[in-house]
Amino acid sequence: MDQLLIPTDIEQAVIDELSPLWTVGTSIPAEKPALFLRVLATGGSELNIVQDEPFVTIEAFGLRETSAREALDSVLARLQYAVRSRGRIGDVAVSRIRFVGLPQNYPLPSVPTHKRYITTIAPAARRRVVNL
Amino acid sequence: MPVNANNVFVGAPDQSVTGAILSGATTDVPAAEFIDDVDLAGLTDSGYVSEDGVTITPEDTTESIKDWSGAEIRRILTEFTGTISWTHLELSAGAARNYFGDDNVDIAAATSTTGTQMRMSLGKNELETKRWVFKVKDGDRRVLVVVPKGQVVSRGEIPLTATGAITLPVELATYPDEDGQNIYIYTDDGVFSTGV
Repeated sequence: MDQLLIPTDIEQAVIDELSPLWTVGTSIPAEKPALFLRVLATGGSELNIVQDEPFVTIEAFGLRETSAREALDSVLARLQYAVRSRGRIGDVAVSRIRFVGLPQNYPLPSVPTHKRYITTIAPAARRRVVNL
Repeated sequence: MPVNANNVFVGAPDQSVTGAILSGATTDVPAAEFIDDVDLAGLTDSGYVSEDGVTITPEDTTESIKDWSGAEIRRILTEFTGTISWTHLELSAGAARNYFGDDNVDIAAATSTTGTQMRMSLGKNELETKRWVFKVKDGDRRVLVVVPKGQVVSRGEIPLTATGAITLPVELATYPDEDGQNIYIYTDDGVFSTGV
């Protein structure tokens, strides 16, 4: 049986993991809540035949610096816990997660109403198998 | 037979309920047939393991039989040893018992004025032979490594540095069970049959 090994939709996986707790998506909502997250796939590399290590940049927007930073800290801890306890982010099998950097205070001029903290993670995510 | 990515397993620890390394008293129960038959009752865990994971090292020792001309015509297996090594990342009671031995770890429970306190001792101590189980999970794929009789026989250096965790590296010698087997490896590829 021939198979396609398709890199996983890591943005969706992270959104699935975080959406029960936060307002999260891949774009900035028109109606901005007090606290929201944006998840962006920002590259990465192949790890082995069945796994990739995508980079995922996560941005936390809050009305205050404190709320944005605390949210992002919690997001990192939640993702790390998900990998350690379930070996998954969302429905995707993830064997480990690496923090490329710790949260940065990095305001976004086009969203002057909110403060922004950002960070990038690199999960070792298993590819999806599709039988041909 | 075609290649199948579902048969490629990644060796990540299964820490969903307990740590990934469990140990307990040896039993006379025969080896389980398949992965879900492995009995984990009575086993205790020892917490986080370092990112180097667990390494299984089988070693076959053979002796050559040579003919008159000196050509090797056969090798006979004379000895098998199987060792498993890993490094504990926790200085917990479970990890300490694995490294120092059950009899060489004393624990006082936390009180209103002190935390949990331990006393561990190093010396010429022969450690207990125990039953060991190593749990691996990769999505829906599962692996259990079972050592019916294993004894920690080598203990690595304990680093006390300002830049890293205190770790307890150990090497486990494995001994044959009643069926002459030292190590059992059970897998489940997580792909369910669609038939009835």
